[in-house]
Amino acid sequence: MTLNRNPAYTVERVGADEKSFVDVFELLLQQHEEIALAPFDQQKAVSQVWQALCDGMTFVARKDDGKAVGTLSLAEVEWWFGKHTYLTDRWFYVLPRYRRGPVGHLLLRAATAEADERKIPAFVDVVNPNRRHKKTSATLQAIRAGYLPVGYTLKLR
Amino acid sequence: MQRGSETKFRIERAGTDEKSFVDVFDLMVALHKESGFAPLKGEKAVREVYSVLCEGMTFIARAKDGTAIGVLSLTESPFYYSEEAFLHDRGFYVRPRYRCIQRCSAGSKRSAAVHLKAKHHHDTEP
Repeated sequence: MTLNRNPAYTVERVGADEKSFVDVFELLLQQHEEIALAPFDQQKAVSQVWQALCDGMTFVARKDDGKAVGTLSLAEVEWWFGKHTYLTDRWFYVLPRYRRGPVGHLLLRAATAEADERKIPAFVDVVNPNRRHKKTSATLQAIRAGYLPVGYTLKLR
Repeated sequence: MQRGSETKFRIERAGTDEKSFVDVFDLMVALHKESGFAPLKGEKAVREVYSVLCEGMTFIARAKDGTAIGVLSLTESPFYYSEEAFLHDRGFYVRPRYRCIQRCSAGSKRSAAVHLKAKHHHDTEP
């Protein structure tokens, strides 16, 4: 199902089929190569990615030639203080050469639509330890205290 | 167990005793009041807070008079792609009037947030 259309890119919700799995897994391998904090355990990763696809809230951005260039997967979890739920990202990744363009935005829009449909809040972490830090007040305070921010959280709904 | 700080605050690791629970729960209720996105259900919140205390990685910042003014609670989770684990926060809250690290001068007037962060860093270093 195509959720968003842009002259160059489409975002689709992917299911638990072989092509979707391969596309998503390849993107996540590249993410791991770029920003991993621990060794890759293939068996565990395969199982986790497949489970995410089965949950039905994984989106893939494709170029007009069909190449997968980004992915965002959501999970619905309960608040620690109650029975209500919210959406949070399992992962959010866009290939480096497609950043600073519409790809990430289209994926976030798909996530927002999902949250709207479920009528619950959604939060997505945008994490890139290699990014140059923006000079926000919070960033400067953290750096002054000896910590490097690795990203920020977006509230989509 | 008390941890060192400068003169205004001290950091201690919270246990599963009643006082620790009450202090942490009060702070978490204040956090919810300030930034909760859904209603608080007492029974579940109590269970979650107690379970976090049992993990033994909850730190409380106290003012000189013993008042609890901040909390940072950690838990260990595995990466989705690995058997290795990392620490992340289950709750990080400092009462609004103790957040003034920009207005405070360096040294003894640093805020509780800075102390809590420093504590976290110290405890997670290899």
